[in-house]
Amino acid sequence: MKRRFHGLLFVPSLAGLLLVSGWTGWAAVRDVPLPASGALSTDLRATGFGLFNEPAVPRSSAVDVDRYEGRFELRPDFRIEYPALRLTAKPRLGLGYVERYSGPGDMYDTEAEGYLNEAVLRLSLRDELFLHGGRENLQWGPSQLVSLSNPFNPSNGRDDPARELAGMDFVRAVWVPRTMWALSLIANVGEGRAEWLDPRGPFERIYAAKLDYTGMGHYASLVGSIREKDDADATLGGYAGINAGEATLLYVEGNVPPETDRFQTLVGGSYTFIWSGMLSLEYLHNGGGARDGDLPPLPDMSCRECKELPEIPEVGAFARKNYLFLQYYDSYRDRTDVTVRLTYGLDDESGRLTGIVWHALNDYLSAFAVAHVEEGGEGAEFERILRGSITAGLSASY
Amino acid sequence: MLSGTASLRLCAALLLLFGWPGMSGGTGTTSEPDTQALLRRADRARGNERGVTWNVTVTSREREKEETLKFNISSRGFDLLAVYTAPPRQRNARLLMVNRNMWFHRPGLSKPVPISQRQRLLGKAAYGDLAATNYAEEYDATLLFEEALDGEWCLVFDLKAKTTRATYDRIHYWIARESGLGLQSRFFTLSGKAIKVARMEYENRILDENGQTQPFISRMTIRDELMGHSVTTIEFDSPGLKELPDSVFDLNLLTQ
Repeated sequence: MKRRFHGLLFVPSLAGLLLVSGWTGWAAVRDVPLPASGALSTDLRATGFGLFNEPAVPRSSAVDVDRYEGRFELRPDFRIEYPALRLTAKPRLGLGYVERYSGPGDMYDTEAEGYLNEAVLRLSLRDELFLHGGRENLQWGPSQLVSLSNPFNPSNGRDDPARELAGMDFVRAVWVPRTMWALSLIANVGEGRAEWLDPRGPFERIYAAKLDYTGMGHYASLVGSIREKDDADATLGGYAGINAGEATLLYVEGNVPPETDRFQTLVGGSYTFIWSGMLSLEYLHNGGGARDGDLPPLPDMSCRECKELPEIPEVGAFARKNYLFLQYYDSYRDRTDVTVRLTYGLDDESGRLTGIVWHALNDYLSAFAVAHVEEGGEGAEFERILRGSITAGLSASY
Repeated sequence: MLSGTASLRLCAALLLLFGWPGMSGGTGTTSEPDTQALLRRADRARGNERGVTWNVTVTSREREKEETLKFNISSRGFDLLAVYTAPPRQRNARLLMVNRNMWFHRPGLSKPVPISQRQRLLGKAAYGDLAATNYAEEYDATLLFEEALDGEWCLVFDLKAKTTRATYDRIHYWIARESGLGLQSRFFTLSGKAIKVARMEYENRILDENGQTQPFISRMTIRDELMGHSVTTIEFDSPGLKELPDSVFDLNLLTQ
């Protein structure tokens, strides 16, 4: 009954939005003359990379750790556009080779897979009202480290630019009555390709309302969300930011779950130097994190002879309470982008340093390299599974 | 079942939407001195209140090296959406400037990131240089002197930013006495050091709200005053007046 109630809540909310926005029915859509054929645009991209991991766990660990990985992906983006209709599709073809270091699986694996990472149909019911349906990567918020106000996927994938974030299945309506205001009703109806994403267990639908305000040189958003499960997991999130000068941005992002002591807040700012380099500093407080004590140890493969594998304790990202994050980004001669990111856990004094370099070889081809180094020690969050990794690859665009 | 707390939170969000006074969108007007009228007239040749679309090519030359970026621009008032069209590695990257808040997104980047107005576009051009100017609203102007620039007699104003949201702290601005067009800007740091100088040309023509043809910006040439090596040109092609809805400038719709 409760599951049905949550799902049904979204439908009248959507109907209310259509009513308030002044939508006069499908006739309004049909009045927009569709051309005989839509405008098709295509972006062709291909990415190939090699990855080397330096594990921190022993070879007998039950945790699945890759030692080497090679991967090639074709990433075409298609878009067909009519005046009131837009279809975007991002099919992917991946070829991969993995050599594992530890874990219960085979030590070598090759795979060839084709999948649809994103595909969205967007219908413009009016100039200010849009209906979206399909698979997409829905992200928002000003934070560089983690998007705490996003109830669907707080990870923004910035530490691993070689890989795309997995699309999830959404239905959403966006109403923009003024430049200053927007209201979105969002239903996350399927996990899409992000089946691994949520450590809390099987996928559950999430319904959210997002209200956006954009003032002169400042902005704020509120995000109310409900997770579809028996104990109505309602969370209020939001973010806000202000231009504190031509070069300085200040922002805050966070969420308050039903257990209010588990609230999460991020306060940050960035400064753009006269040579265009940008320095960002963020502080993250995770109310549900542990300040003291070791994280649970990772099980060994002593149960190779057992019938059941040992249970691997779930430790999500940001298991501690307090973090500092520092990022420097610069672009040299408009051809080489350099990003350095440092995530430092203040409670267990462990951290991860990431360096990312993109260099345009010409207008079509770019080379990139990503390096991570983790420092922690026993019981710390970082250097728990990996000591470091290096990724290098090429990306072609046409 | 929806808890009472959750219901209250959703109701509060909806009340905020429908009850907020800013939703009415009303604005007041005050009389402006002649200097302000001059600045407003010059601003009109570098933007449009209802909407304008154009193609922009930005070329930077520095020590015999040349880089080019191309965009489709949708601009309304002082809001702007720029979609990169070239080079291929940058295609479909997007810059959104709305109410002086700026966001940048490119394919492969998971979400739009906020950037400051100082963030460089290419060469010596800042993202803020793509947007229409709003000097009349954002700067206090003092007449410095008059001088001829390329044969046109100009009033030269000292502009000082009224607010921190202006792209530049201080500008010297040459406005042609006869045409009312802004012909040259020299930009300064807070300490008073000249950063760069921009020359504007107005070869484009558009029809204004009264059906009258008016000149419209066609080229901006930016020279570096600090290093003296680089020249960046911004060419504005095929301007077309087009009423643009608010949704064009909405961040929720930027990435699809």
